Amino acid sequence: MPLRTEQLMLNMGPQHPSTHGVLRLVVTLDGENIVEVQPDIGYLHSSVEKMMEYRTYLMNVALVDRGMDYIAALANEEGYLLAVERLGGIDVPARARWLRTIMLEFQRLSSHLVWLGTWGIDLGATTVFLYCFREREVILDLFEQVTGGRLHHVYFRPGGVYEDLPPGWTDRALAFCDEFPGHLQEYHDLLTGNPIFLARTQGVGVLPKDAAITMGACGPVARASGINFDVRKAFPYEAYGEVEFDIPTFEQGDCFARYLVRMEEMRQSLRIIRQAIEKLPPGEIRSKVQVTVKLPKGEVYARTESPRGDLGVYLVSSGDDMPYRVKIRAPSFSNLYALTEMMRGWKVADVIAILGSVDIVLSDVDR
Amino acid sequence: MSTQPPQPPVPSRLASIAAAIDILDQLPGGNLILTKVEYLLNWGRAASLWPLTFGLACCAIEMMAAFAGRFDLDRIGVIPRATPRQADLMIVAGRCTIKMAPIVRRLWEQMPEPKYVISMGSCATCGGPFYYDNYSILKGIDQVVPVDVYVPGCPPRPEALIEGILKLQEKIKVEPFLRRTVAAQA
Amino acid sequence: MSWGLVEELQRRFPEIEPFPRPEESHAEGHGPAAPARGHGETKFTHHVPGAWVPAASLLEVCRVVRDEAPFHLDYCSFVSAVDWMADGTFEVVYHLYSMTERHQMLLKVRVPRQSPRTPSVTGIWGGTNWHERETYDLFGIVFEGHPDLRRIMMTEDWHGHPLRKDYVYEEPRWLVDLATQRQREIEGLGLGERA
Ligand code: SF4
Repeated sequence: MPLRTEQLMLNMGPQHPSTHGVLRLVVTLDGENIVEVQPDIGYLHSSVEKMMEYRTYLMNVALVDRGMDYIAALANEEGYLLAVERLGGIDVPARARWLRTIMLEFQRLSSHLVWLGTWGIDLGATTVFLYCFREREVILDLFEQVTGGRLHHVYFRPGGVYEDLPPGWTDRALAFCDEFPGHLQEYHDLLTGNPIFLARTQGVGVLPKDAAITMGACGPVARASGINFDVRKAFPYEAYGEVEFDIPTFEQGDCFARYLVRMEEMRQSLRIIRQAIEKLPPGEIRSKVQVTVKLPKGEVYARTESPRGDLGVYLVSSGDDMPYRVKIRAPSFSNLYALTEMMRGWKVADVIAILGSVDIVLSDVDR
Repeated sequence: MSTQPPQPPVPSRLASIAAAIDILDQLPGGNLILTKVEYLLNWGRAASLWPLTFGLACCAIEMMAAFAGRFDLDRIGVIPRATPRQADLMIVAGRCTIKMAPIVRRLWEQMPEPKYVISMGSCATCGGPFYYDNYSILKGIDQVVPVDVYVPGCPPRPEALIEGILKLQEKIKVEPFLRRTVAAQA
Repeated sequence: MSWGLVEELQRRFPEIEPFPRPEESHAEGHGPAAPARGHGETKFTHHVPGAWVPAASLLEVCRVVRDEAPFHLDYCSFVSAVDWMADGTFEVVYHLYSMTERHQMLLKVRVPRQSPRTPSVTGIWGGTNWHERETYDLFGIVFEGHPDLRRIMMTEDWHGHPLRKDYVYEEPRWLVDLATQRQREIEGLGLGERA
């Protein structure tokens, strides 16, 4: 007679130190094994899509910073403004495009550092957190010198960027690019060869390739499952068509592969930044756009690669100075749904490791 | 001409320390510290505030930065705890939705007395950028829990959060803590 | 190239209605920015190729565009809706993308505002499960055949569907009560006292 035990419902969150915000996971357990995971979201639903219908196109830039993925605020601005500029046919000067590329890549670096640090804490490696935030502060200083803000920048504007670089900034940025590979090596030394880390991540939380496509996974999660897709390559925007970089792809689809993808992406970001600073053309940084710009009637869907994946903005304009409808296709939302697939069959102790490896931001999930 | 008796000057913290050192010097041997029990307790409480790690939104990232290397809140005895039962300070960092509000309230009720609340960021204070045209954000966390210190900013820099904690420490140090507890038990 | 795809789809399903093409040749939704156009123009420009599909044949169209050449649209980016209140309709929007062929297409379904119902495509793209729940929550569109159609963003007892254009916000009762009680608690307390 097989031994049958009663299933146990375990509630994690919404206040839990490892859920990275206000996520509630209802885990159904059979002994130690996970039968099913039901994420319960909406604890940070900030009604951004509604608010954007009542604000002008310029005011919305400040809103997408805060209402969406707040760890990578500039990536949100880019996604939104790309839609606005495509719909309105607004030109962006060459220098502004390159400046945006530099800033976006720095944003990717800082976002991945937050992910690595917090995941480190989840797995019991507090040192990594302190190291990552040390480097992140340097990036935030670089941001602050250009945009004036640490977290929320409101730096990109319709038709360009707000300010040019301050004198000496490129030297400081290049100095950072020179020293950062050493820090990356430090993280590798701390984690990649660490047997505890390997035991908790290698082969854990596997997401097969076809499941990743049906579940709508995107970004580093999809690339770790063998999907060679990056919006920066597939639909180049800003200056991404003119720089060289590789898309790291792994076949395993486990937590460790997701970790390796992001570590490699950081190295590629440095490569892009170096090329962009070298090629930065002189000239205008902003084309003339009215403050209350009116966009022609129509709809557009613009895709960008935010640090979390394929960020899409579907914008409908009714010819007014405010959008008629904005739908934000958030990468974390899709990735979090793929989590239900990843977790099935693993042990309860793996929940934290798998959840951390997906890199969700709850504000991006709920909007 | 005023009929009121002159008020004694309120001793500042430095002055009271100086007075304590004075007394010490006059005592033979000088190894005895005399102070109010209440002052001692308050000093102890103020110097070891343990907040609940409770990030809601963007401000939580700045709170994390404040706990990390450069700003290092450990210096002033602030060590994050993961459970409300070990915490005596709740830093509400970020916007709170109506769906989340009952949970914030319950966490606050689970914390042991005496407990304090810092509202970090304009969202927690009053709704901030999410005040108008919004259907899901609570317009100020003080609708559900009492707040001791409001830290403005969107997001407040880590320095601002540290300033808020220092302000809270000042408040704790002058609290009639013992007298209130005794009165409550009587 | 993707516009040709829509024509191909129309050849198989005559009942669908393709979007009118934009006049500019390169307004495909990606690529360099389109040139500035004069204001006062009243035509609605669709920058992404796609078509309106009747709700009755949605499932079949979806199955064909996922499985058959030359479509192979195996990835559903999002499902959402637009509220055209003046016309009395909702438009349910599906954005599809092909990971192998690298092309994209929009499908739209018009549903009446009075009784918004449309078939669920969760059986075709599993990832649309939450997207449909979100659309149900915020617009009140019922997806027939959805395995688990509950509210996802708002609480279960929420009134109304917030992203509709005629939505009126109403503070939940318990919150008003709690806030009033908090008001009463702090009344009459002087400064410096703990509220
Ligand atoms: S105050 Fe600003 S930074 Fe803080 S949670 Fe609100 S929007 Fe985010």
